[in-house]
Amino acid sequence: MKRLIEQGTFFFAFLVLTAIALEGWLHVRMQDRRAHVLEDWPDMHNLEADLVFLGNSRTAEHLIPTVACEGLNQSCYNLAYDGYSVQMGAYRLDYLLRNGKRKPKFVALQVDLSFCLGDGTQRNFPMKEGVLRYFLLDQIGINRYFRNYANWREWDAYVPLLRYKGFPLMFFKHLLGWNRWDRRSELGFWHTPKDIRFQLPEAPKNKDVNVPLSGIDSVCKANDIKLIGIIPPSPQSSFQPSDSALDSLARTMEIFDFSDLFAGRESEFFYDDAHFTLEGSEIWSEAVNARLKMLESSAAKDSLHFQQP
Amino acid sequence: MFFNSLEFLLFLPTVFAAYWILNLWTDRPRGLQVQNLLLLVSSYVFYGWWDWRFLSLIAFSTLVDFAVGLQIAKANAREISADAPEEARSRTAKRWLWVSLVVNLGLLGYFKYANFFIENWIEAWSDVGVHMDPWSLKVILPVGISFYTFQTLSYSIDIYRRRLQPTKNLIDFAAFVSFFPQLVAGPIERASALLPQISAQRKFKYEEGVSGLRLILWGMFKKVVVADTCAIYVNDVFANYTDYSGPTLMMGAVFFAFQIYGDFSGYSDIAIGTARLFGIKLMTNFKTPYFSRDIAEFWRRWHISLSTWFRDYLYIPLGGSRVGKLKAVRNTFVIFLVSGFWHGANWTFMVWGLIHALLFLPLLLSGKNRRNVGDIHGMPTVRELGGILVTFAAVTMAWVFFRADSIADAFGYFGHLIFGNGMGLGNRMLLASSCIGLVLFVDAILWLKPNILLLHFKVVRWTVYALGIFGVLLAWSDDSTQFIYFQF
Repeated sequence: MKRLIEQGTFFFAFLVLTAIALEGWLHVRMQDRRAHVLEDWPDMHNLEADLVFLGNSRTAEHLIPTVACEGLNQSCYNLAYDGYSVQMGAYRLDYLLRNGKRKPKFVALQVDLSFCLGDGTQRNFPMKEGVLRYFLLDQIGINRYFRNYANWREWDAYVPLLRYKGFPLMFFKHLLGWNRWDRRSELGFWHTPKDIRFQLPEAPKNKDVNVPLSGIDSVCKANDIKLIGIIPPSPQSSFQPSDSALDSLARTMEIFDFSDLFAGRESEFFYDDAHFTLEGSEIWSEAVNARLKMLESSAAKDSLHFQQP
Repeated sequence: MFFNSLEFLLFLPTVFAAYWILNLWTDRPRGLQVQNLLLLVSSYVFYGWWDWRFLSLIAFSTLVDFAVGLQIAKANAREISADAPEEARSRTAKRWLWVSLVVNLGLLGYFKYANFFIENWIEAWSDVGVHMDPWSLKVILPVGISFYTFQTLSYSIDIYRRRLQPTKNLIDFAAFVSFFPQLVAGPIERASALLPQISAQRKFKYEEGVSGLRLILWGMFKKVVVADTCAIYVNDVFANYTDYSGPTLMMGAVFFAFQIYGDFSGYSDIAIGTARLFGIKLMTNFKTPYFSRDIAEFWRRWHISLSTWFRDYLYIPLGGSRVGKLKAVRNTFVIFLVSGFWHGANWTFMVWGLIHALLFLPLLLSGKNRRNVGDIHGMPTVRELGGILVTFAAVTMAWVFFRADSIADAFGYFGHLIFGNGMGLGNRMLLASSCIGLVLFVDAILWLKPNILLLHFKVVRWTVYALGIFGVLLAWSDDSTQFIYFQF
């Protein structure tokens, strides 16, 4: 038994050293991490935008800024990020306020359940892609934004290699020094194709819970930024917050509710149960544009100039 | 508690430490009893972690067979003289054996098969125009019931056959029934092999401990890296087989073959390795089954503890293959159909058993079912390699029925495999294919037993272990699936 304990201790030390060596290799392969940070978040450095959109893939991929802001006197920027939920929205807004050229005047926040509730976990690929490498040394101060995630564990973030748990391909990719999936698009096997299949959800979820905003509302208030809530089209309104949650949201921001925009024509405009076809994206962006124009004109009437001098 | 859970990661070292500390006092009166009591309590905690209410079933089965064993032995001693032939049986003992059979098979039947019979009964009546309201018993299938009931049954049968003396120690017997490494998914141990080990004083051996840890790591690797990775694609392909192309469906079936192998043999390896840490040897349950040269050899290498159980307690009592051809064929079908039904209350398992019986039949009729009994020496011949490929293809085809939700789905799967068009899994299958390659590589080493000089160096061995641990760590997911055989 003494020998087992002795050898076990040596092996454990060997294991830890090997893990640290692998982390070292990761570090070398991804030299100048700060450069990678800038590469990952270039859109927020020196950004000058009056209106920014925050959301997940439903906004990132389908709200077309040139269409949504056409004819407005505002510069717009879509800051939504594929795969993320509201915590990352809060982080990106914070990062923008610290690193942008000037503060935005408006924040259009996706307030459907897919973004605000998400499932509070870090399971999907794009999310891991964006944040995993920064966890161990808590670069760009990212960890605190993920602490309230359902499956966040401090030791997952800070123990060598453990943060890659469940994402072996991501680990090997980072080990090879490949920063993004599309870097090696010619080696398509690193890319997970989307499963394109639309199925109408059986029943709307409409969870009767508060819609958490992760402090975005208070940040906007403190910085004198007008917050707008946008609910993208949803098949059978499956991502739409309940009426009571909407009432509560409406007290803090103006809500643009497009959840029924494609009602009855879901299979025409959705390619899965959350994302739209190109035509669907254009229709939704036009609808957003119309509401923004209305907001602009009503603001002008109230002499609260939508366009700041 | 699952082997691939965080709880088990804490549970095992704790019990291990307490167990060997107690071992210091096993030479004192009742010292061994205290150590076995710890095994028993740990096993009940392990099982109760899933659902403590079902502990009563294990306890009940334990008490019944403990009492039945003593009564059978008493009746044998009273009614059969010591010089009586081996076949002589006591009538009273037979009655007691029936008690064990009724209780154990009754528990199994009620919890596992009652709803299946009710549903089929209602469906059969509706086929002839009599419609009954559908209903079912609100019962949960207790994890591992098929395993521990077979274990207790074999105890009573062996005593009845006068091949085993009953134990008079209830703690030892209860620890034998509920021994946590193999409680929920085998190997199904015989009392004659396991009980004497539990009743005797154990001694820790360094080599045994290390080989146990090595088996645990390999088992974890097979489960977490191989089986769970394959499961991602298998679940998708089997759920949406109408959308996929023929080659993709073929790969889906191959992935399932390795998923179930990785899952179940992985469990067995962890069980055997864990038992070794406690100084107890369990039987080998898998011997590189996908390198079998024919279907008969496959069954000598796959789930060995179950196939030998059926052989000893069903096939041979029915006459085995040493009866007329017709009866031998009947016995073959009986054993494979029962084996299929043992796996679950679904017609798909019966068809799976039937396919294996049909595959076995030509070997039986031509007298070639024991042609490939021994291990292979040196490199396999082309003929042997051909046999391996054909056997694997046949086994994989049968797995489709095992995995499908219904027989119609299985036929639909084959229909699309041959005629269907659809999308491919594309590059997504790369990871699972790599894992399969890895497990085949290691199995080939185990099969051919080459002397790998590099492994004599500690640093090489440790590096391999470390990479294995990192592999498990990276593939480990918070929503890792439970072991497939838990449902049986």
